[in-house]
Amino acid sequence: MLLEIKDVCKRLGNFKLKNISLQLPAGYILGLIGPNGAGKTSLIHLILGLYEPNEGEILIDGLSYTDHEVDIREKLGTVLLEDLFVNGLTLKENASRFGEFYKNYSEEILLKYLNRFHLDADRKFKQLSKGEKLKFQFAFALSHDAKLLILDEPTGNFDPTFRAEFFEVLKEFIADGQRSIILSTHLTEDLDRIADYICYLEKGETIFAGDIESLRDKYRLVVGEEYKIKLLRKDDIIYLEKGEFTNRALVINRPSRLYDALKVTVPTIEELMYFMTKRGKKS
Amino acid sequence: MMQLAMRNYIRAFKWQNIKESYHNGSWFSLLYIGIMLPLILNGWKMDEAGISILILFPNIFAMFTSVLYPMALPKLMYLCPMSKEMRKEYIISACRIRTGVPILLTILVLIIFLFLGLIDWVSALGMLLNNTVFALFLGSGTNAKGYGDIDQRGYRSIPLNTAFSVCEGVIILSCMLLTVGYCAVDITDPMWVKLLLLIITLLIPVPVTRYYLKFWPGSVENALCYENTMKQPIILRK
Repeated sequence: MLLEIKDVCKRLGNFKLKNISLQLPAGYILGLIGPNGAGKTSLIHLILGLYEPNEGEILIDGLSYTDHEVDIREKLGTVLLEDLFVNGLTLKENASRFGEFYKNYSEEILLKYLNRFHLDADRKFKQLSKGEKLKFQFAFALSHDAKLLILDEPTGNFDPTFRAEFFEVLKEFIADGQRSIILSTHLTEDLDRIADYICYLEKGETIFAGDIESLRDKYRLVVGEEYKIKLLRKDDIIYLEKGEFTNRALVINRPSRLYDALKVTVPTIEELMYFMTKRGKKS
Repeated sequence: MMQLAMRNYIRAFKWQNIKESYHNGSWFSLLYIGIMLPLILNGWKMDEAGISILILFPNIFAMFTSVLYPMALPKLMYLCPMSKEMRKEYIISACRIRTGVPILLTILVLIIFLFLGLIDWVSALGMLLNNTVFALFLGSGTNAKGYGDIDQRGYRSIPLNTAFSVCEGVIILSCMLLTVGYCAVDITDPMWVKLLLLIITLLIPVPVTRYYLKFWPGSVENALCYENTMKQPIILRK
Protein backbone atom coordinates (compact mmCIF):
# COMPACT_ATOMS: atom_id res chain seq x y z
CA MET A 1 0.00 0.00 0.00
CA LEU A 2 1.32 3.43 -0.89
CA LEU A 3 -0.94 5.09 1.64
CA GLU A 4 -2.48 3.57 4.72
CA ILE A 5 -4.50 5.57 7.22
CA LYS A 6 -5.57 3.64 10.30
CA ASP A 7 -8.26 5.01 12.64
CA VAL A 8 -6.92 8.53 12.59
CA CYS A 9 -8.55 11.14 14.83
CA LYS A 10 -7.60 14.78 14.94
CA ARG A 11 -9.06 17.66 16.89
CA LEU A 12 -8.73 21.18 15.52
CA GLY A 13 -10.56 23.54 17.81
CA ASN A 14 -14.25 22.73 17.52
CA PHE A 15 -13.72 20.50 14.51
CA LYS A 16 -12.82 16.84 14.74
CA LEU A 17 -11.77 14.26 12.17
CA LYS A 18 -13.12 10.97 13.47
CA ASN A 19 -11.72 7.49 12.91
CA ILE A 20 -10.54 7.97 9.36
CA SER A 21 -9.31 4.78 7.72
CA LEU A 22 -8.18 4.61 4.14
CA GLN A 23 -5.97 2.56 1.86
CA LEU A 24 -4.52 3.43 -1.52
CA PRO A 25 -2.40 0.97 -3.49
CA ALA A 26 0.25 2.11 -5.97
CA GLY A 27 -0.95 2.93 -9.49
CA TYR A 28 -4.32 4.45 -8.61
CA ILE A 29 -6.07 7.78 -8.17
CA LEU A 30 -8.04 8.54 -5.03
CA GLY A 31 -10.70 11.24 -5.21
CA LEU A 32 -11.27 13.06 -1.95
CA ILE A 33 -14.71 14.60 -1.92
CA GLY A 34 -17.10 16.21 0.49
CA PRO A 35 -18.86 19.51 1.14
CA ASN A 36 -17.03 22.59 2.38
CA GLY A 37 -15.75 22.13 5.92
CA ALA A 38 -15.93 18.34 5.66
CA GLY A 39 -12.27 17.99 6.65
CA LYS A 40 -10.63 17.32 3.27
CA THR A 41 -7.84 19.86 3.71
CA SER A 42 -7.28 18.77 7.32
CA LEU A 43 -6.95 15.17 6.16
CA ILE A 44 -4.49 16.27 3.47
CA HIS A 45 -2.49 18.15 6.11
CA LEU A 46 -2.39 14.97 8.18
CA ILE A 47 -1.20 12.92 5.20
CA LEU A 48 1.46 15.56 4.53
CA GLY A 49 2.63 15.33 8.12
CA LEU A 50 1.83 18.98 8.77
CA TYR A 51 -0.55 17.90 11.53
CA GLU A 52 0.09 15.12 13.98
CA PRO A 53 -2.86 12.80 14.58
CA ASN A 54 -4.24 12.62 18.13
CA GLU A 55 -4.95 8.94 17.57
CA GLY A 56 -4.22 6.41 14.84
CA GLU A 57 -1.42 6.03 12.36
CA ILE A 58 -0.51 7.20 8.88
CA LEU A 59 1.88 5.12 6.78
CA ILE A 60 3.27 6.21 3.43
CA ASP A 61 4.86 3.42 1.44
CA GLY A 62 4.99 1.50 4.73
CA LEU A 63 6.89 4.27 6.54
CA SER A 64 5.73 6.44 9.43
CA TYR A 65 6.60 10.10 10.00
CA THR A 66 8.01 9.36 13.44
CA ASP A 67 10.99 7.42 12.09
CA HIS A 68 11.24 8.27 8.39
CA GLU A 69 10.16 11.86 7.91
CA VAL A 70 12.83 12.69 5.32
CA ASP A 71 12.22 9.53 3.27
CA ILE A 72 8.48 10.16 3.26
CA ARG A 73 8.82 13.78 2.21
CA GLU A 74 11.04 12.71 -0.71
CA LYS A 75 8.11 10.63 -1.93
CA LEU A 76 5.47 13.36 -1.70
CA GLY A 77 4.58 15.95 -4.31
CA THR A 78 2.15 18.63 -3.24
CA VAL A 79 -0.21 21.16 -4.76
CA LEU A 80 -2.06 23.18 -2.16
CA LEU A 81 -4.56 25.93 -2.74
CA GLU A 82 -2.28 28.66 -1.38
CA ASP A 83 0.85 30.57 -2.38
CA LEU A 84 3.64 28.34 -1.18
CA PHE A 85 6.51 29.97 -3.04
CA VAL A 86 8.38 33.23 -2.54
CA ASN A 87 6.71 36.12 -4.33
CA GLY A 88 9.85 38.11 -5.10
CA LEU A 89 11.70 35.23 -6.80
CA THR A 90 11.37 33.89 -10.33
CA LEU A 91 9.97 30.42 -10.94
CA LYS A 92 13.43 29.04 -11.63
CA GLU A 93 14.87 30.64 -8.48
CA ASN A 94 11.98 29.38 -6.39
CA ALA A 95 12.35 25.87 -7.75
CA SER A 96 16.09 25.75 -7.13
CA ARG A 97 15.66 27.21 -3.62
CA PHE A 98 13.28 24.47 -2.54
CA GLY A 99 14.46 21.83 -5.01
CA GLU A 100 17.85 21.56 -3.36
CA PHE A 101 16.22 19.76 -0.43
CA TYR A 102 15.14 16.91 -2.73
CA LYS A 103 17.61 14.21 -3.75
CA ASN A 104 15.93 13.64 -7.10
CA TYR A 105 15.04 17.20 -8.04
CA SER A 106 15.69 17.80 -11.73
CA GLU A 107 15.69 21.28 -13.21
CA GLU A 108 15.45 19.70 -16.64
CA ILE A 109 12.16 18.03 -15.75
CA LEU A 110 10.88 21.22 -14.18
CA LEU A 111 11.67 23.24 -17.30
CA LYS A 112 10.03 20.57 -19.44
CA TYR A 113 6.78 20.88 -17.50
CA LEU A 114 6.98 24.68 -17.33
CA ASN A 115 7.30 24.67 -21.09
CA ARG A 116 4.42 22.22 -21.44
CA PHE A 117 2.23 24.38 -19.16
CA HIS A 118 3.26 27.57 -21.04
CA LEU A 119 4.95 29.17 -18.04
CA ASP A 120 8.03 31.37 -18.34
CA ALA A 121 10.72 30.22 -15.88
CA ASP A 122 12.10 33.75 -15.59
CA ARG A 123 8.81 35.32 -14.52
CA LYS A 124 8.39 36.30 -10.90
CA PHE A 125 6.04 34.15 -8.88
CA LYS A 126 3.97 37.15 -7.80
CA GLN A 127 3.25 38.03 -11.44
CA LEU A 128 1.38 34.79 -12.02
CA SER A 129 -2.38 34.40 -11.85
CA LYS A 130 -3.91 31.99 -9.31
CA GLY A 131 -4.21 29.24 -11.91
CA GLU A 132 -0.63 29.77 -13.10
CA LYS A 133 0.67 29.61 -9.54
CA LEU A 134 -1.01 26.23 -9.16
CA LYS A 135 0.43 25.10 -12.48
CA PHE A 136 3.88 26.02 -11.20
CA GLN A 137 3.30 24.12 -7.95
CA PHE A 138 2.18 21.18 -10.06
CA ALA A 139 5.32 21.37 -12.23
CA PHE A 140 7.49 21.52 -9.11
CA ALA A 141 5.68 18.55 -7.57
CA LEU A 142 6.45 16.56 -10.72
CA SER A 143 10.09 17.61 -10.87
CA HIS A 144 11.46 15.64 -7.91
CA ASP A 145 10.30 12.12 -8.72
CA ALA A 146 7.50 11.93 -6.15
CA LYS A 147 5.63 8.67 -5.62
CA LEU A 148 2.48 10.15 -4.18
CA LEU A 149 0.97 13.34 -5.55
CA ILE A 150 -1.37 15.17 -3.22
CA LEU A 151 -3.49 17.79 -4.93
CA ASP A 152 -5.85 19.97 -2.93
CA GLU A 153 -8.59 21.37 -5.15
CA PRO A 154 -6.43 22.65 -8.00
CA THR A 155 -8.84 21.98 -10.88
CA GLY A 156 -11.29 24.78 -10.06
CA ASN A 157 -8.63 27.33 -10.97
CA PHE A 158 -7.62 25.74 -14.26
CA ASP A 159 -9.10 26.78 -17.59
CA PRO A 160 -10.87 24.00 -19.54
CA THR A 161 -7.98 23.57 -21.97
CA PHE A 162 -5.47 23.09 -19.21
CA ARG A 163 -7.81 20.80 -17.28
CA ALA A 164 -7.66 18.30 -20.11
CA GLU A 165 -3.86 18.60 -20.13
CA PHE A 166 -3.81 18.26 -16.34
CA PHE A 167 -5.67 14.95 -16.41
CA GLU A 168 -3.41 13.77 -19.20
CA VAL A 169 -0.36 14.45 -17.00
CA LEU A 170 -2.02 12.63 -14.08
CA LYS A 171 -2.58 9.57 -16.26
CA GLU A 172 1.06 9.66 -17.40
CA PHE A 173 2.16 9.98 -13.76
CA ILE A 174 0.49 6.76 -12.65
CA ALA A 175 1.13 4.87 -15.88
CA ASP A 176 4.07 2.86 -14.51
CA GLY A 177 1.90 1.47 -11.69
CA GLN A 178 4.37 2.62 -9.05
CA ARG A 179 2.80 5.98 -8.17
CA SER A 180 -0.51 7.23 -6.91
CA ILE A 181 -2.48 10.44 -6.65
CA ILE A 182 -4.83 11.93 -4.09
CA LEU A 183 -7.04 14.54 -5.69
CA SER A 184 -9.35 16.63 -3.59
CA THR A 185 -11.91 18.39 -5.73
CA HIS A 186 -15.42 19.77 -5.95
CA LEU A 187 -15.54 19.13 -9.70
CA THR A 188 -16.73 15.60 -9.38
CA GLU A 189 -17.40 14.96 -13.07
CA ASP A 190 -13.61 14.80 -13.45
CA LEU A 191 -13.44 12.10 -10.81
CA ASP A 192 -16.10 10.05 -12.57
CA ARG A 193 -13.68 9.80 -15.47
CA ILE A 194 -10.39 9.38 -13.69
CA ALA A 195 -10.69 8.19 -10.06
CA ASP A 196 -10.25 4.57 -9.02
CA TYR A 197 -10.95 5.14 -5.34
CA ILE A 198 -13.21 7.59 -3.56
CA CYS A 199 -13.15 8.89 -0.04
CA TYR A 200 -16.26 10.83 0.83
CA LEU A 201 -15.99 12.93 3.98
CA GLU A 202 -18.72 14.79 5.79
CA LYS A 203 -18.42 16.69 9.08
CA GLY A 204 -15.09 15.01 9.77
CA GLU A 205 -16.37 11.48 9.23
CA THR A 206 -15.88 9.02 6.42
CA ILE A 207 -19.17 8.29 4.72
CA PHE A 208 -17.54 6.09 2.12
CA ALA A 209 -13.96 5.03 1.46
CA GLY A 210 -13.22 2.42 -1.14
CA ASP A 211 -12.99 1.70 -4.82
CA ILE A 212 -15.32 3.52 -7.15
CA GLU A 213 -16.92 0.33 -8.47
CA SER A 214 -18.06 -0.64 -4.97
CA LEU A 215 -19.47 2.85 -4.58
CA ARG A 216 -21.35 2.50 -7.84
CA ASP A 217 -22.64 -0.90 -6.80
CA LYS A 218 -23.74 0.33 -3.41
CA TYR A 219 -26.17 3.05 -4.49
CA ARG A 220 -28.84 3.61 -7.10
CA LEU A 221 -30.69 6.70 -8.20
CA VAL A 222 -34.36 6.00 -8.75
CA VAL A 223 -36.84 8.25 -10.48
CA GLY A 224 -40.58 7.82 -10.46
CA GLU A 225 -43.77 8.29 -8.53
CA GLU A 226 -43.46 8.99 -4.83
CA TYR A 227 -45.59 6.10 -3.62
CA LYS A 228 -43.56 3.64 -5.67
CA ILE A 229 -40.32 4.94 -4.20
CA LYS A 230 -41.83 4.69 -0.73
CA LEU A 231 -42.56 1.02 -1.34
CA LEU A 232 -38.82 0.44 -1.06
CA ARG A 233 -37.43 -0.32 2.41
CA LYS A 234 -37.51 2.91 4.41
CA ASP A 235 -34.00 2.44 5.78
CA ASP A 236 -32.62 2.11 2.26
CA ILE A 237 -33.86 5.49 1.08
CA ILE A 238 -31.07 7.95 1.74
CA TYR A 239 -32.93 10.99 0.50
CA LEU A 240 -36.10 11.46 -1.48
CA GLU A 241 -36.34 14.66 -3.45
CA LYS A 242 -39.88 15.59 -4.39
CA GLY A 243 -40.26 17.61 -7.57
CA GLU A 244 -43.18 19.20 -9.36
CA PHE A 245 -43.10 16.69 -12.19
CA THR A 246 -40.86 13.92 -10.92
CA ASN A 247 -39.37 12.49 -7.75
CA ARG A 248 -35.81 11.31 -7.33
CA ALA A 249 -34.24 9.30 -4.55
CA LEU A 250 -30.85 7.90 -3.73
CA VAL A 251 -31.25 4.41 -2.36
CA ILE A 252 -29.01 1.64 -1.14
CA ASN A 253 -28.83 -0.99 -3.82
CA ARG A 254 -29.75 -4.55 -2.88
CA PRO A 255 -28.67 -7.23 -5.36
CA SER A 256 -32.02 -8.99 -5.42
CA ARG A 257 -34.16 -5.87 -5.43
CA LEU A 258 -36.75 -5.25 -8.11
CA TYR A 259 -37.33 -1.58 -8.78
CA ASP A 260 -40.90 -1.95 -9.91
CA ALA A 261 -41.68 0.61 -12.62
CA LEU A 262 -38.99 2.99 -11.41
CA LYS A 263 -36.28 4.38 -13.64
CA VAL A 264 -32.98 3.27 -12.15
CA THR A 265 -29.53 4.67 -12.88
CA VAL A 266 -26.08 4.45 -11.34
CA PRO A 267 -25.54 7.80 -9.59
CA THR A 268 -22.68 10.02 -10.62
CA ILE A 269 -20.36 11.20 -7.84
CA GLU A 270 -21.97 14.61 -8.00
CA GLU A 271 -25.44 13.14 -7.55
CA LEU A 272 -24.15 10.99 -4.74
CA MET A 273 -22.66 14.00 -2.96
CA TYR A 274 -25.82 16.02 -3.50
CA PHE A 275 -28.11 13.40 -1.98
CA MET A 276 -25.69 12.49 0.79
CA THR A 277 -25.44 16.06 2.02
CA LYS A 278 -29.23 16.28 2.06
CA ARG A 279 -29.85 13.07 3.94
CA GLY A 280 -31.69 13.42 7.22
CA LYS A 281 -33.42 16.56 5.94
CA LYS A 282 -37.02 16.80 4.76
CA SER A 283 -37.61 17.14 1.03
CA MET B 1 22.65 24.89 7.00
CA MET B 2 24.25 28.26 7.75
CA GLN B 3 25.18 28.65 4.07
CA LEU B 4 21.71 27.64 2.99
CA ALA B 5 20.02 30.03 5.41
CA MET B 6 22.36 32.85 4.35
CA ARG B 7 21.66 32.17 0.66
CA ASN B 8 17.91 32.12 1.25
CA TYR B 9 18.07 35.32 3.26
CA ILE B 10 20.08 37.15 0.63
CA ARG B 11 17.72 36.00 -2.14
CA ALA B 12 14.64 37.23 -0.29
CA PHE B 13 16.06 40.49 1.13
CA LYS B 14 14.15 42.75 -1.24
CA TRP B 15 12.22 45.94 -0.60
CA GLN B 16 9.12 44.40 -2.18
CA ASN B 17 9.20 41.55 0.34
CA ILE B 18 9.73 43.96 3.24
CA LYS B 19 6.69 45.98 2.12
CA GLU B 20 4.62 42.80 1.90
CA SER B 21 5.61 41.73 5.42
CA TYR B 22 3.81 44.63 7.09
CA HIS B 23 1.54 42.13 8.86
CA ASN B 24 4.62 40.82 10.67
CA GLY B 25 5.35 44.31 11.99
CA SER B 26 7.49 46.06 9.35
CA TRP B 27 5.41 49.20 10.06
CA PHE B 28 7.11 49.27 13.47
CA SER B 29 10.49 49.75 11.76
CA LEU B 30 9.18 52.88 10.04
CA LEU B 31 7.82 54.16 13.35
CA TYR B 32 11.20 53.50 14.93
CA ILE B 33 13.00 55.46 12.19
CA GLY B 34 10.46 58.28 12.47
CA ILE B 35 11.00 58.64 16.22
CA MET B 36 14.74 58.04 16.40
CA LEU B 37 16.01 59.99 13.41
CA PRO B 38 15.15 63.55 14.63
CA LEU B 39 16.23 62.69 18.19
CA ILE B 40 19.63 61.48 17.10
CA LEU B 41 20.27 64.26 14.57
CA ASN B 42 19.25 66.83 17.16
CA GLY B 43 21.21 65.23 20.00
CA TRP B 44 24.58 64.70 18.39
CA LYS B 45 25.87 68.24 18.17
CA MET B 46 29.41 67.45 17.02
CA ASP B 47 28.20 65.46 14.06
CA GLU B 48 27.84 68.03 11.32
CA ALA B 49 27.98 65.48 8.54
CA GLY B 50 24.99 63.62 10.01
CA ILE B 51 27.06 60.45 10.13
CA SER B 52 25.61 59.63 13.57
CA ILE B 53 22.50 58.20 11.98
CA LEU B 54 24.67 55.25 10.95
CA ILE B 55 24.16 53.92 14.48
CA LEU B 56 20.52 53.33 13.58
CA PHE B 57 21.32 51.17 10.56
CA PRO B 58 22.12 47.96 12.46
CA ASN B 59 18.89 48.31 14.43
CA ILE B 60 16.82 49.03 11.32
CA PHE B 61 18.46 46.07 9.62
CA ALA B 62 17.65 43.89 12.65
CA MET B 63 14.03 45.04 12.48
CA PHE B 64 13.66 44.35 8.77
CA THR B 65 15.25 40.91 9.03
CA SER B 66 13.07 39.99 11.99
CA VAL B 67 9.87 40.86 10.11
CA LEU B 68 11.05 39.43 6.83
CA TYR B 69 12.24 36.13 8.29
CA PRO B 70 10.21 35.22 11.35
CA MET B 71 11.10 32.19 13.45
CA ALA B 72 8.44 30.06 11.72
CA LEU B 73 9.59 28.70 8.37
CA PRO B 74 7.66 29.14 5.12
CA LYS B 75 5.06 26.36 4.82
CA LEU B 76 6.88 24.77 1.88
CA MET B 77 9.95 24.20 4.06
CA TYR B 78 7.86 22.03 6.36
CA LEU B 79 6.97 19.97 3.30
CA CYS B 80 10.55 19.63 2.08
CA PRO B 81 12.55 16.53 3.02
CA MET B 82 14.09 17.77 6.25
CA SER B 83 14.19 15.97 9.57
CA LYS B 84 13.34 17.82 12.77
CA GLU B 85 17.06 18.01 13.56
CA MET B 86 17.79 19.58 10.16
CA ARG B 87 14.93 22.01 10.62
CA LYS B 88 16.22 22.93 14.07
CA GLU B 89 19.71 23.47 12.68
CA TYR B 90 18.29 25.70 9.95
CA ILE B 91 16.20 27.73 12.42
CA ILE B 92 19.17 28.22 14.76
CA SER B 93 21.44 29.20 11.84
CA ALA B 94 18.81 31.70 10.73
CA CYS B 95 18.70 33.16 14.27
CA ARG B 96 22.49 33.51 14.20
CA ILE B 97 22.29 35.45 10.95
CA ARG B 98 19.49 37.67 12.23
CA THR B 99 21.47 38.56 15.33
CA GLY B 100 25.02 38.29 14.02
CA VAL B 101 24.74 40.59 11.02
CA PRO B 102 23.37 43.60 12.99
CA ILE B 103 26.10 43.09 15.62
CA LEU B 104 28.77 43.04 12.92
CA LEU B 105 27.26 46.15 11.35
CA THR B 106 27.35 47.86 14.75
CA ILE B 107 31.04 46.99 15.17
CA LEU B 108 31.74 48.42 11.72
CA VAL B 109 29.87 51.63 12.48
CA LEU B 110 31.62 52.01 15.84
CA ILE B 111 35.04 51.59 14.20
CA ILE B 112 34.10 54.47 11.86
CA PHE B 113 32.96 56.58 14.83
CA LEU B 114 36.15 55.86 16.76
CA PHE B 115 38.25 56.60 13.69
CA LEU B 116 36.46 59.94 13.21
CA GLY B 117 36.83 60.74 16.90
CA LEU B 118 33.09 61.04 17.48
CA ILE B 119 33.08 58.72 20.51
CA ASP B 120 35.49 57.17 23.01
CA TRP B 121 35.90 53.54 24.08
CA VAL B 122 33.40 53.69 26.93
CA SER B 123 30.59 55.00 24.71
CA ALA B 124 31.59 52.54 21.99
CA LEU B 125 31.29 49.66 24.44
CA GLY B 126 27.92 50.94 25.67
CA MET B 127 26.58 51.35 22.12
CA LEU B 128 27.81 47.86 21.21
CA LEU B 129 26.06 46.36 24.23
CA ASN B 130 22.89 48.31 23.53
CA ASN B 131 22.70 47.29 19.87
CA THR B 132 23.65 43.70 20.73
CA VAL B 133 20.74 43.50 23.16
CA PHE B 134 18.40 44.91 20.52
CA ALA B 135 19.69 42.48 17.87
CA LEU B 136 19.31 39.52 20.24
CA PHE B 137 15.82 40.60 21.20
CA LEU B 138 14.65 40.92 17.59
CA GLY B 139 16.79 38.26 15.96
CA SER B 140 16.04 35.49 18.42
CA GLY B 141 12.49 35.40 17.08
CA THR B 142 11.16 34.74 20.57
CA ASN B 143 7.62 35.95 20.94
CA ALA B 144 4.54 35.14 22.96
CA LYS B 145 2.56 33.92 19.95
CA GLY B 146 5.27 31.43 19.09
CA TYR B 147 5.53 30.16 22.61
CA GLY B 148 2.52 27.97 23.17
CA ASP B 149 1.57 24.32 22.96
CA ILE B 150 -1.26 22.75 21.03
CA ASP B 151 -3.44 21.05 23.58
CA GLN B 152 -5.54 17.93 23.11
CA ARG B 153 -8.53 20.01 22.06
CA GLY B 154 -6.58 21.49 19.17
CA TYR B 155 -6.25 24.93 20.72
CA ARG B 156 -2.95 26.65 21.09
CA SER B 157 -2.52 27.37 24.72
CA ILE B 158 -0.31 30.36 25.44
CA PRO B 159 1.12 30.84 28.90
CA LEU B 160 -0.13 34.17 30.19
CA ASN B 161 3.22 35.42 31.36
CA THR B 162 3.21 39.03 32.51
CA ALA B 163 6.97 39.01 33.00
CA PHE B 164 7.40 38.07 29.33
CA SER B 165 5.33 41.02 28.10
CA VAL B 166 7.00 43.43 30.55
CA CYS B 167 10.42 42.26 29.31
CA GLU B 168 9.51 43.10 25.71
CA GLY B 169 8.41 46.61 26.68
CA VAL B 170 11.47 47.25 28.86
CA ILE B 171 13.91 46.07 26.19
CA ILE B 172 12.41 48.17 23.39
CA LEU B 173 12.04 51.32 25.50
CA SER B 174 15.41 51.12 27.24
CA CYS B 175 17.28 50.40 24.01
CA MET B 176 15.63 53.33 22.24
CA LEU B 177 16.27 55.76 25.11
CA LEU B 178 19.84 54.58 25.58
CA THR B 179 20.59 54.98 21.86
CA VAL B 180 19.39 58.59 22.08
CA GLY B 181 21.38 58.99 25.31
CA TYR B 182 24.63 57.69 23.81
CA CYS B 183 24.19 59.96 20.80
CA ALA B 184 23.50 62.99 23.00
CA VAL B 185 26.73 62.51 24.98
CA ASP B 186 29.62 64.39 23.47
CA ILE B 187 33.19 63.07 23.46
CA THR B 188 34.19 66.09 25.54
CA ASP B 189 31.58 65.39 28.25
CA PRO B 190 32.87 64.12 31.63
CA MET B 191 33.66 60.42 31.92
CA TRP B 192 31.11 59.82 34.71
CA VAL B 193 28.25 60.64 32.29
CA LYS B 194 29.46 57.98 29.87
CA LEU B 195 30.03 55.49 32.68
CA LEU B 196 26.55 56.18 34.02
CA LEU B 197 25.02 55.28 30.64
CA LEU B 198 27.14 52.13 30.47
CA ILE B 199 26.03 51.12 33.98
CA ILE B 200 22.35 51.71 33.07
CA THR B 201 22.86 49.50 30.02
CA LEU B 202 24.42 46.80 32.16
CA LEU B 203 21.70 47.03 34.80
CA ILE B 204 18.52 47.23 32.72
CA PRO B 205 18.47 45.91 29.11
CA VAL B 206 21.27 43.35 29.51
CA PRO B 207 19.79 41.32 32.42
CA VAL B 208 16.22 41.73 31.11
CA THR B 209 17.28 40.33 27.73
CA ARG B 210 19.07 37.47 29.48
CA TYR B 211 15.84 36.60 31.25
CA TYR B 212 13.79 37.06 28.07
CA LEU B 213 16.01 34.66 26.12
CA LYS B 214 15.06 31.85 28.49
CA PHE B 215 11.92 31.60 26.35
CA TRP B 216 13.97 31.14 23.20
CA PRO B 217 14.45 27.32 23.30
CA GLY B 218 10.67 26.94 23.66
CA SER B 219 10.10 29.12 20.61
CA VAL B 220 12.62 27.08 18.59
CA GLU B 221 10.95 23.80 19.58
CA ASN B 222 7.62 25.26 18.61
CA ALA B 223 8.81 26.40 15.20
CA LEU B 224 9.92 22.86 14.32
CA CYS B 225 6.37 21.76 13.77
CA TYR B 226 4.10 23.49 11.25
CA GLU B 227 1.03 22.89 13.35
CA ASN B 228 2.45 25.03 16.15
CA THR B 229 3.15 27.97 13.90
CA MET B 230 -0.13 28.25 12.04
CA LYS B 231 -2.95 30.54 12.99
CA GLN B 232 -5.15 28.56 15.30
CA PRO B 233 -7.69 29.34 17.95
CA ILE B 234 -5.67 30.69 20.84
CA ILE B 235 -6.52 30.52 24.50
CA LEU B 236 -4.55 32.14 27.27
CA ARG B 237 -3.80 30.12 30.35
CA LYS B 238 -2.59 31.34 33.71
